Amino acid sequence: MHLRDVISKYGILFALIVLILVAGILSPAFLKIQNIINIFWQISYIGIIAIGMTFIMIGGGIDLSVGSFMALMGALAIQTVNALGDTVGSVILSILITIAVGALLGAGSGFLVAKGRIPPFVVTLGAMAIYRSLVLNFANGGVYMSRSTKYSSIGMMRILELPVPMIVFLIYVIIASIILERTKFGRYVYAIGANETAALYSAINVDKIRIATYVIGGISVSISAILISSMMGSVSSSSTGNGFELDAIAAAVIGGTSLSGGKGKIVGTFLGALVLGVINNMLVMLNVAVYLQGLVKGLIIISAVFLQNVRRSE
Amino acid sequence: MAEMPVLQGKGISMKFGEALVLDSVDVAFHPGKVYGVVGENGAGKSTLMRILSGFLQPISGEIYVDGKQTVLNPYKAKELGIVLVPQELNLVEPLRVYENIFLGDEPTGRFLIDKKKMIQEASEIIKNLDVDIDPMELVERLSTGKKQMVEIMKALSRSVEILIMDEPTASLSEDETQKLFETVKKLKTSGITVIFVSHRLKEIVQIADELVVLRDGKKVYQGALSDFSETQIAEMMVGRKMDEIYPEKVGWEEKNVLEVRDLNSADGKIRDVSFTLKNGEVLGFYGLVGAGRTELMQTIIGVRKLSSGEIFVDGKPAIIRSVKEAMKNGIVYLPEERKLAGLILNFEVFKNTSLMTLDKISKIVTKPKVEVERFEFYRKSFDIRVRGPYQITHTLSGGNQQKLVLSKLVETGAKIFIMDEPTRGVDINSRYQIYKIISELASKKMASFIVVSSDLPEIIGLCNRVIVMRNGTIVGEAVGEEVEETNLIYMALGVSESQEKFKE
Repeated sequence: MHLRDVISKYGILFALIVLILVAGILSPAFLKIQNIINIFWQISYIGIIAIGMTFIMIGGGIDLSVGSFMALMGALAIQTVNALGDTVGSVILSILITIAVGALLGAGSGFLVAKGRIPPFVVTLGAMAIYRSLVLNFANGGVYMSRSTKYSSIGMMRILELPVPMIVFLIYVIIASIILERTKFGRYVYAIGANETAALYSAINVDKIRIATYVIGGISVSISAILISSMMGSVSSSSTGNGFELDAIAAAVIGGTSLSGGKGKIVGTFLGALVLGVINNMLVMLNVAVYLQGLVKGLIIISAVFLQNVRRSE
Repeated sequence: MAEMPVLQGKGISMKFGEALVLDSVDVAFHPGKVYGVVGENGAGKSTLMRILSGFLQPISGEIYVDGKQTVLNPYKAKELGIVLVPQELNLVEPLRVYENIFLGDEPTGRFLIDKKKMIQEASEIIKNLDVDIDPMELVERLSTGKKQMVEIMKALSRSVEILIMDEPTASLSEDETQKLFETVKKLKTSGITVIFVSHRLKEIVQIADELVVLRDGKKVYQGALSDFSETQIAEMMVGRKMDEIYPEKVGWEEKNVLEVRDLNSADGKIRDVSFTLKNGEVLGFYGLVGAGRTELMQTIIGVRKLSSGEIFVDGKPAIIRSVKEAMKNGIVYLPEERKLAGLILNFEVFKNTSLMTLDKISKIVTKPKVEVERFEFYRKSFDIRVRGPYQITHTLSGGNQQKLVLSKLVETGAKIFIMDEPTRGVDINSRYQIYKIISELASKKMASFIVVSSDLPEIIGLCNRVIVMRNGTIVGEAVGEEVEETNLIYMALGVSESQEKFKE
């Protein structure tokens, strides 16, 4: 293997290691175990959504609605618990309902893309506006507050000293990896994204697989919504989830997922999310102006895709 | 004494990575002659053409244009009148025909593009070629054959001294090919050099004055075409004796494995088609490009909706609305465009072999080990040349890719194979192997085949019975002795029919 191949194949890992070393040198506090755990915690919300996004993107689609979708699902979870009362049973029920509704709405987007032949960019751009408008409308622009202490305790819970969102994220990474890389379904996702026509001629039910990727996207959004709304104990109708779609797409793209479909790995997305988390954390520790953090993030995304293109043009 | 060559390459060598694809090749081309360049896939033809037209720089060797040593690049080549029509189409699909012809070379008025002049000149070129293309048509609406003609027109619109065409006839119909040849003859008489790469030896024999044969990156022959037969040329290319390209034809059993009755497609492209396929038969489907053969096959396998008609498999009525249902009825289809529809090019090769049969191998979790085993089986029996099961598909040659598609189809255990242009862009050796696979499966009555092909020698060489289509319906059938060239062409063109009418 040439050096260039090695760099492009493990580039994201190299980038992450370099970032961690730089951060560790500039600020020794960075390498403290608590800080590392914090980074994992912070990225778990975006990370879970980015995993769903990875399925959708490898299948040749994209989902721009995830930010407002998440706010809507968070609001749904909170309102359901509030309505059902502060019991363990009602918390579990509301979680299940939220996940089911998320899957259903994802299926809706997927259906419009697959059967309606509407470009995914358009469908999910529309969905983004619709979801946000619904969230704003029911709260009248305000905040959904959880009245259930049991529900609010999930998001702050720790198991073996580790925050629950982090654990959920790591387990989700493993399960998603297996589904995408070890199952027939995963193989078909790659196939429809790489060459829809060839997949069709190979007796693959292209529409069904495509819809399924959006269902996974919807489930991922719901899980993330439950974790974040229970941690905050509330959902802000105007700000929760803002910009999440960009971070989720960025994590996938930095991790090597192709915007044109057929290429990508869950591990890549996981590392991509970590890179974003480390950068955020580092910039905060180094007292870089909040307003400039977007600039750094933007540069990193562009360079990541640039490096992928260098490899492809060989 | 000898005239100076207009274009000459001396000791041209080229490497891609570690692989030596051209090994000190000497070639010379004289004005007013047509050169046929032949060689198996991977022999270095396309690479040599790209070097001679300045798109690639050789690692060693010199190029002389009009006797002067020249370092070519695409701009320099354009200046010198060297034009390459590449193998892969390079058209801007959403633009119109005339816009594509003049792309990058638009005639301008004072400030703006002179649209009128473009359309006028485009019409002229089209008229000269005598093809039925509207200069105002969007390229994306054209058939592959017509797109190829537009690509050729694009070359002709430039001031050409040397015209290099890489497999220009691969997607042309017989009729279009003949029209192209007329143009080549005209160019030749006006002193233009034409370099013509083709897999179809018959065409080379028909059109070329001189022959250049490449084998494994080396030039093994350049000289007069003289009286070489197609078989002799093929032997030079392959480097060994080839008694027959086509295996012996096999008979069939009087049992219908497939019967199609009064089939109409919902989009009206197929009208009232009825035919039968016998057990162990290799049935040919011939017709001009656009005759509806591909559309018919797509309707049969459920990719295209049918509006009426019945399909019987082994005498029993079958309802086929998708490729999956076709597969369940034992019918599989090898699509016309291999790269577009046959394979997932960025998959490891073994994943393509198992793409249609994952359900057989695994319930939920895939079993790569079993898949690799299956691939290895076909690698041996079909002679698929790869470094290993994990090689990425797009790095394979056309012939090996096609054998890979075939492995995917055979793996389904299907009994009826519909092969749409099974050897397009496939080298002679692989071609021979594919024919052998077909004839073996058919003669053992393990499968029956429908072969759709625009390659007449192929249809004639393989099939005992040929159905001819025109305008979306069946217009004739030839059996046994009747399967010969003029007969099939006349039926495809509808010439005999109109002559009869004329007599009346």
